[in-house]
Amino acid sequence: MSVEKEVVCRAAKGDGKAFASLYEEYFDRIYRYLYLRLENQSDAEDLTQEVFVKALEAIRGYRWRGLPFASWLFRIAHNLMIDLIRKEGKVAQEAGEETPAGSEADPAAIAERNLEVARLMDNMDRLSPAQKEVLSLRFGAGLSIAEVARLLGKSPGTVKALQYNGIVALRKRLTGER
Amino acid sequence: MAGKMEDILNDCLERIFRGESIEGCLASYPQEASELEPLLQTGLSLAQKSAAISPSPEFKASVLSRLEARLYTTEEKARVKVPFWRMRWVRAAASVVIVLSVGIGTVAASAKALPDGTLYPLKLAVEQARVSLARSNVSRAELHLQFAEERVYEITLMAGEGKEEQIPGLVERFSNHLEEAVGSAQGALRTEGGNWLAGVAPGEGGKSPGVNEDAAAIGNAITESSERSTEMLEAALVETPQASKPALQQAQEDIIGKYQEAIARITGEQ
Repeated sequence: MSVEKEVVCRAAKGDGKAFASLYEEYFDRIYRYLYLRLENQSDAEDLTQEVFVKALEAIRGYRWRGLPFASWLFRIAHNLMIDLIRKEGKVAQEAGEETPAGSEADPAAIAERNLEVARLMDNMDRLSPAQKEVLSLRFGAGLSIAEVARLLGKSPGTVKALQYNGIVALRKRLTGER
Repeated sequence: MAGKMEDILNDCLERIFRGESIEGCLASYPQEASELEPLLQTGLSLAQKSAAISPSPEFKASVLSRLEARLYTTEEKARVKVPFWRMRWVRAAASVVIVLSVGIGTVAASAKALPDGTLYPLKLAVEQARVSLARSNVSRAELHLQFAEERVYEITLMAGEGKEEQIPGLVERFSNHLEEAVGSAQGALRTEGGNWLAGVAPGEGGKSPGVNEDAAAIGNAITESSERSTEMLEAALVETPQASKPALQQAQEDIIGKYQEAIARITGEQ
């Protein structure tokens, strides 16, 4: 039995220690994915919280079927994000309007980092939704090609193509700025 | 060709994620290197900038507290059916909620989340979150000292219950908190300058020249913490079962030694 499978199975049986371990493992990655997709700190925070509340409620019914736990958890995040966009007709805000708070104490470092992130969001915003989704899951959430493919219901080849085209498009944006 | 490049790009990205250099990847694909390099630079930049996006400690702490409150509510509803082994979970969850809602609790109150309990890791995570929210070196050090004393109290509880195997880990956590408290004082010195002069009151009418009051306050707090912990351990030794006494005595020796070392480091800075 893999370590993750063991932890997930214990969490499903109500083991708080196991759930805490999963929380620590995935919290930042879920937030980062939602932030990249929604381009809005407030929405990313609301949905990250909702993801873990739903996970806590649903994990007792979770049954291991050989799929990584990340697929299950990011499926919750993905569905909530889609729901939010559909319900509220959310449109990405202008990049730079909000920036992640982070935990650094140095205001200059925070400002510099936020500027970098704002530029990233601006460039990401020009990608197609599918490219943006793949790059958010790959680079924000740290999922593998296979995990992204499973989550989005696409073939690994398609995900690789979206990743390639997304990076090419980003590169063009970056060189075009200079 | 495009299909091949997609595979090559992905292979290189995976290798870079694992710590390999861009140059190392390019060496594997010399024919595609000129096309590949700018894409890998972009991918690396994307990864670095994405990594800079992180939730604020305040937000992370607030979600944690809400999850714990929800856990507690759920368990309370099912309390009648809860088997004995789950009661500790409920107690631990309640103690975490109390710690979060009333602020810094007493050692006795917060000690209900036991080191061998299911929610103990959450309690430690909450402590970490609270430390990350501290706005000054003094408040950070005070929190670390409070948690160090809590570890001491937990040591006495574990010894009392005959669970000596828990003690070494708790002593290590205690040491880490004490080290962090000393580090906070050193941070105050680096930021503000001056010296420790712990235990020396400033002269009438304000600051003594050259005294770093934050560092001195932390020094005093460490001394007071040492006295409280020593008293706690001595009292526990009287009540601890004979079989657990050697482990508790060893912990007492280690803890007092760590305090003495911390105080010596402080006085050595004068």
